[in-house]
Amino acid sequence: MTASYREVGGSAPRIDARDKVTGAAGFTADMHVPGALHAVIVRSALPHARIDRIDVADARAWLGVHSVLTAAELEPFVTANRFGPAIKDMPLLAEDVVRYEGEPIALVLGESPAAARDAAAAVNVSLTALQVVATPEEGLAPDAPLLHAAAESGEFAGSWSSGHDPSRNLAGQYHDRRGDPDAALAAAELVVSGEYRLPPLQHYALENHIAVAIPSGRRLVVHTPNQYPFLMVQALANLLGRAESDVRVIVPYVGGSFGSKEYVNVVPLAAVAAVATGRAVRLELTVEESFRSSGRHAAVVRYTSGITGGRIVARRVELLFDTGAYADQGPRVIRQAGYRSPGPYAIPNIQVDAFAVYTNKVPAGAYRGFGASQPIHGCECHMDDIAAALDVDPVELRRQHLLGLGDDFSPGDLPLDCDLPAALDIAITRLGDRRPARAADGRLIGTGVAVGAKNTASGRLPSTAIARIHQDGSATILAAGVEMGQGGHTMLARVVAETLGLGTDRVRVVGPDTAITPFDQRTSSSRMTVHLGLAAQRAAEDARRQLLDLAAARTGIDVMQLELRDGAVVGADVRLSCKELITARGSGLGGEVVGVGHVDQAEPEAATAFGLRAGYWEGSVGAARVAVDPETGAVEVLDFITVGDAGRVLNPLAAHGQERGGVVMALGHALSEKLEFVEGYLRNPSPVDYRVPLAHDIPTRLESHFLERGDGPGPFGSKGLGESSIITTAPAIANAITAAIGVRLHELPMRPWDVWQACRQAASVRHSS
Amino acid sequence: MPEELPLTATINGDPFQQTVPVHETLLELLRERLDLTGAKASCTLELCGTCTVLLDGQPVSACTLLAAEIDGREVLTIEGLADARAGGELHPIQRAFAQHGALQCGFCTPGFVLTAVALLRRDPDPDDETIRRELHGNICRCTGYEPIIAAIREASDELKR
Repeated sequence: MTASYREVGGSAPRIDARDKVTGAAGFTADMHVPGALHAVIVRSALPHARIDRIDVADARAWLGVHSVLTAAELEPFVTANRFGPAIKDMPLLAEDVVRYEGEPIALVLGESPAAARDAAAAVNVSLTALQVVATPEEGLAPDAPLLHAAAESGEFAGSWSSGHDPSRNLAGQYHDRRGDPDAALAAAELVVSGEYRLPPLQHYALENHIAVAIPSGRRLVVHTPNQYPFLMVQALANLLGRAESDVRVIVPYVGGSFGSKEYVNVVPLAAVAAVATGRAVRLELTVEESFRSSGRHAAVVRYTSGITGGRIVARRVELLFDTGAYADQGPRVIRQAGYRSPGPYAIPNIQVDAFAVYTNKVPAGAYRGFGASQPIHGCECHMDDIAAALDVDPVELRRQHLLGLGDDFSPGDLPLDCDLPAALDIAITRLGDRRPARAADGRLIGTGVAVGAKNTASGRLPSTAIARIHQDGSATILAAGVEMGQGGHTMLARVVAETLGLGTDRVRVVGPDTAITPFDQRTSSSRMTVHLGLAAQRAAEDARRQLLDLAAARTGIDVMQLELRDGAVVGADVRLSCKELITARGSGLGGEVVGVGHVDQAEPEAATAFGLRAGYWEGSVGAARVAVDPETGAVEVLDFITVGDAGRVLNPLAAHGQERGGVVMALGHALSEKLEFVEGYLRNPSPVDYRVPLAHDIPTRLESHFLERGDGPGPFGSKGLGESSIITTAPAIANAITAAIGVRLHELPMRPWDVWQACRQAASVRHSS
Repeated sequence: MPEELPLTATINGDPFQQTVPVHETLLELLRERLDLTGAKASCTLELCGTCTVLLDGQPVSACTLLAAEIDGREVLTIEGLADARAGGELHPIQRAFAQHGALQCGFCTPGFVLTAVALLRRDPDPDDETIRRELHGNICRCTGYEPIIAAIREASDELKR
């Protein structure tokens, strides 16, 4: 029987919709801070160089310039000129060496943006070029220059930093071995290998990076769009040698993030500058600078599978990730990527070797689909290549090997709580006719599928929320979940409303302010609904129970016979308003009811190969139908079906919005997006020639579906879903293109030129055979 | 060349008369001097559409237009579109955006809403193909556009009634 709910379960508009359609929603850049200094970063023009001299005399003398900071000037204000979540390897401002084009060297602080900008151009930096490590292969070469010495662990220490080995240019690594893959591969009837390449990508959130830091006595207040407000407090407290209580981070509405706004360096730079000058500092990047702040790891992904009797008996995976000049989240990304790389298939013998390599490029970090997108792309293209080699239906090959609901992905981890075989069935049914065809206009039609599973919210991720019920029965929830577009605040309001028997419009959410809202690990890993939502639900339940207890004591009615509804406790013949209950309970307890809710995973360390147990699994199936014009190489995605596994969907409008938005984002990854680096130089740091999808690029038919069993660990049986569709979209499109034209493109993106060349190759293969 | 120019214009229905620095963009004028922060700076390359405002009813990028260029003309920003006070009536396009989930992070939303307003004034009954084409100057990275197109379609139906 399906439980029935008043508030959750049905579609509801966002609680911030009105603010956002009227322009009233406040983003960080909308703040006016009278008297703030404007900061502009002086950046390295070379990807790898020794700094011989930084001449700031002209810039300091510039009209309207307050000061110019270099690494030397930071020294009195910081415990160490180092920053980084897993490995503290990144100087806030470069010292003797720069390791990527665009690395911050100096910070100019002016009374106006124009003064700071003009003076920044007058800073003279003398550099001597050093040998550039342009690719991970170059970084691993025995004679490669070493980009880093040993470094301390960051706030994300523990197992995350275990593979760091600067003597080999390794930011991180991961290895796993199950069974005897060497023997199984040697004995296999057929061995299929494939190498797949994914380019570096930009998140391209429309809001550029920004931080506004305001000193206030010993305290420092930082307003910034950031997914990690509490870890940022810890990082800033460590950096500045202050108490965590003296650093306050406030996160307004966030104009998109997708993983970009995590350990971004604008926050410590603005903070240090505010401390050094004693003035409020505003540091707002341009789009070009945002492109030079973070991105998704480029990857070379190699799969080899041994097949005997139609069964995949062994799989070897090698992952080579380009982490850029600083580790950032690279050590975490590579461990997750390696762990997920064998795919959700029953394969007895497995070997995985995964490396994140330092290069002289913009640091790569977190990106929606964190370390899952790259291996799943390789794995799913490889599954189709195996099917082609065996001359079997790729869907059937997957069905024969897919792990089902409750199966172990890897020993010791949470068994799969997503039903991938069922999701595959829905996707195939909705896709319809899968046969390749030639359309009347000459275009080649093909279909493809991809399956993926992402262990999500692994390890210990505590969340706390506070629910306050006011005398009129309305409620305020204090919860540090970052609203970056995913609809997290709407989720919180509805979960609390449901629990308190209130309308959602009677609940207000107070978002991340580390001086007010209690600790929440972070808004990432599709965890806000599950962890913070559950904390909010428990806080509301705590407050609700207090009111029921008051009413029971007052009336003598058993608590079980009472309920809270629309701001009053009601029972058989009684109705007691919150005001009556709160004001009558005697002195000392204040004029409202306050409930607290905690969530903390009991088993932080698990005996998995990976070391951490999943909170839940995000699984998805993507299915695509494409039309390829063999004359031009242009690809049109006609149909795309995505099927996720959500536990329970709390708000269909929001959930489908996440799924379909993820598909269109990955459509860009499949067909057009690539950061073009040439010998370490980034050639396309803007949307002019980094081409993201526009309205006319979307599929003609875009469907999203969810499996719901109500068995998720979140409130009302929900799970996280923000990263589900994105992990299987690009490989489904790649497989559809392969089916259409008869040849595999081994590299993303699949732009018209690449597809056209592949079509020509396919034609010549047909002619010669 | 003078450093400042006199400017007489209409902004959100109100007369505006001031001298403006010759180099000041319309976006700077709106955001920094008039506290109309609904239009956002993002690419500042006249490409992404977050700074879209209507100039004599046509969508333009305020990031690359000089403030002085609006002399004698009429500017509408998102703040001027509807009665923005709490509880005030929203424009049908704003209402449709909210109902269809046509916004997530909201950073691009004012630009999309104003582009849609201009489109429906010019063509009250656009087909999907026209809507998609007319949105080419606005980028949304969250929604995948489909809900935006659906919202504009619905608003078009409502405005015709």
